Amino acid sequence: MRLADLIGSVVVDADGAEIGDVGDLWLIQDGPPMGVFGAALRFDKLVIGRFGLASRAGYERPDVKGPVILARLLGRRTKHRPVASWSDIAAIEEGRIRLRLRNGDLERPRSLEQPATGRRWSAGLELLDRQLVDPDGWMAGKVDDLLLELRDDGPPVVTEILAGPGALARRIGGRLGAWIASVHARLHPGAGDPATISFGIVGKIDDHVTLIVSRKDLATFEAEAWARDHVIAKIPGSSDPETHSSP
Amino acid sequence: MRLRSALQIVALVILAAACVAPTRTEAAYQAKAVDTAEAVVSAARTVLLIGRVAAADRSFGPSVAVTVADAETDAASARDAFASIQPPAPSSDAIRQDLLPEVQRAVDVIELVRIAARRDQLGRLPAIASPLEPIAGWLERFATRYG
Amino acid sequence: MKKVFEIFLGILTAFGGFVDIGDLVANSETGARFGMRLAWVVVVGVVGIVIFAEMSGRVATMSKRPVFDVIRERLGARLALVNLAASFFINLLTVAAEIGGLALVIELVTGINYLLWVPLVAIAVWIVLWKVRFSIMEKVFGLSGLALIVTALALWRLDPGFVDALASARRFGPTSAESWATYAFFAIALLGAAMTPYEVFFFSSGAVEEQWTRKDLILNRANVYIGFPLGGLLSLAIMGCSAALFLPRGVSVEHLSQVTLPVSATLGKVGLVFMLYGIFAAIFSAALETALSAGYTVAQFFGWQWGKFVRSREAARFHLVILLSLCVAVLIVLSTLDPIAVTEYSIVLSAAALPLTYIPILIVANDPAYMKDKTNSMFLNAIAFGFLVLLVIVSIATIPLMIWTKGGA
Repeated sequence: MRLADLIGSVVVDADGAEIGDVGDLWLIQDGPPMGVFGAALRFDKLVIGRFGLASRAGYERPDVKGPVILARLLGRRTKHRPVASWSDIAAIEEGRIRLRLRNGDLERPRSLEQPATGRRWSAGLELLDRQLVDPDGWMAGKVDDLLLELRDDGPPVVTEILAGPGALARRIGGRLGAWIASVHARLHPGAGDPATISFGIVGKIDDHVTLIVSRKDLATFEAEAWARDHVIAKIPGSSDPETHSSP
Repeated sequence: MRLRSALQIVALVILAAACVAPTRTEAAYQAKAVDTAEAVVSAARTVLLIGRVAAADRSFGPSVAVTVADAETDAASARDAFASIQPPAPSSDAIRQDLLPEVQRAVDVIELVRIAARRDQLGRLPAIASPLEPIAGWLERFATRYG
Repeated sequence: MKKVFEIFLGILTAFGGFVDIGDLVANSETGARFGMRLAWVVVVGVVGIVIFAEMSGRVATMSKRPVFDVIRERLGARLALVNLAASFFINLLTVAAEIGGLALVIELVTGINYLLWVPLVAIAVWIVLWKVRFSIMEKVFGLSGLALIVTALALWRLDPGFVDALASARRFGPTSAESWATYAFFAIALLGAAMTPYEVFFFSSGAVEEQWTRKDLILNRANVYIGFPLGGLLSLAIMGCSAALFLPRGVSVEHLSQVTLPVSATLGKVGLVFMLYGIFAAIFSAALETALSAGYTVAQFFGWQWGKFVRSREAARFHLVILLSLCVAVLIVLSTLDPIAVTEYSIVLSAAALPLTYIPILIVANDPAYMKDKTNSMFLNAIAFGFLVLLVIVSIATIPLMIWTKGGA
């Protein structure tokens, strides 16, 4: 199940009334251990309501105060949005999620609060679109999407990071996304799925995602290698050392 | 979707405005005549300026030649644009008959200046360009009368 | 002592590197049509670029992340892609304008048609980009741009000159011969020329290229608070020379050859040499900056390795984008579109696109997760927010005004 498919889906309550769109996904870090990263991230709460500029700008967090006018205007829109846990979901269809509860019965927490059991992450704010960096400091792409695996013993777990144009296409959606996907497919025949990066090779996540594997070993490095071998390396001076030979 | 329709509307509006509206009314034709006169004044005065600068040995041959050639392009294209417009009514013919010969004279003089400049005869430029001063004055008065 | 020298050098580099083909065209054209009545717009534009360039430099220094990287994190993939498309397209137009401008300068010196110089100029720009170190590149061309000080000298020597210029600068509104719509349109063009978006991409990426740390924030502030306003004074000198020489004679500026006339007329061949050298250097440095910005924006959006601080083969896609952008820019100029017209479009569209770049910067500059303890002060926020409101109004008004005034004709 891809995060891009969840976000933007319409959420319908038990009576069939539309509550809103999925704006964000909260994840809780209490799953089975995954490599160096620690406990895996589990599906915690689906946040309903547009994930617009207000949330992205970080006005959900109390320490972001300025500019004052924007903070006042936009801060209000991020509070008390309805959330749904995995057990509240009756069915996930194409573009639609049906809940077991009625709109009025949904929890409406003030904002993202940290529970005792494990760290809570906002996928939209803290994971998506983060820079991927390899252990030597080389840049390796962005977190374009996340893959969640269904589990029998609880909510789904995030198992892979998806990166590259194939993944980005689904995030962008619409005709533009479909066009990007088809161009990508033509350039990489046979690669049906977008490039995946297992969560097992994630070292830590702060303002960027640090991997424990060199970028050269990632599937997303193909395009960079192609550009290097076919164009850039052919130009004299491409190996000239600059001020710093690694970032 | 709203973004796409908005972009489509904007594109249509820009295209519509880009198509030159035919000068149907006399007032529009007059305005075009004034614009032409002003453009030729600008070119003429530029040539007069660069002529003096060149004769005073304050510039280089190639720069002078390029400046005059640029002014010639401006004047010639203003003349061509105006000459190609159909006068909307016989009463507008008078404006055309007034303006075009003077504009043509200006272009002719500028051409002579350009030829001399390209031959590096910088000292002679003010003399060759001197008819442009009264022409520019005439065109300015024309512009004030109809503007 | 070394620090003082470094700061001094940084200020001079920012001073000399401020002007590009957009400023040359916008200020000369405006001076010839409106005298100094739009001088206040240059002041407003300089205040704007100072505020936002300092902010983007600070964001990049504290978070170690340049602007477009942060734009994607803050706007999300879809909105950032739209932002990228618009910024990239306008940036490409600007590269074309700078290349065209360089070719025009060589035409002025040699007399040979500018089209022949276009490919050579582009190759020269690319070679410098490829081979020369970032800091050397910036300093050499930035400092050489200081030769443009001759315009201030020319203004002082022109008659009517300096005093008249100051007098007309205090008048608000168009001359009797012009309409308010054209006045507003030229104001927007001047603003777009002063507050070019590429400056912000380049400045913030440069902070990461040169590995600025918190200690370098003073350098950042000095460059921006002192260097840029001095550059703005140069823009005003260009406007003043044009106003003094051309406005009384009814000459409107359409060509680069006219831009050099005032200096020729007052300072002769020596002045002209300095002027041409200064114009060439200033536009060359702008060409380098805009070409690099093409690479920065795309690479930073997709998360590719970027930068001149690594070997070219380690940032292959980044360099490929720059190469392709230069090729497209050459094609644009070779299509025989008047380079001055390309410049005019690029500055006007830049003005319209400013909110896209500046809104995310203002938001991030307030986020302690990126800025640690160096978030904006309330005072700065107030001014910056006011500016944003102005820029949004400008953005909305640009296209209608462009259509209404037929491009300022």
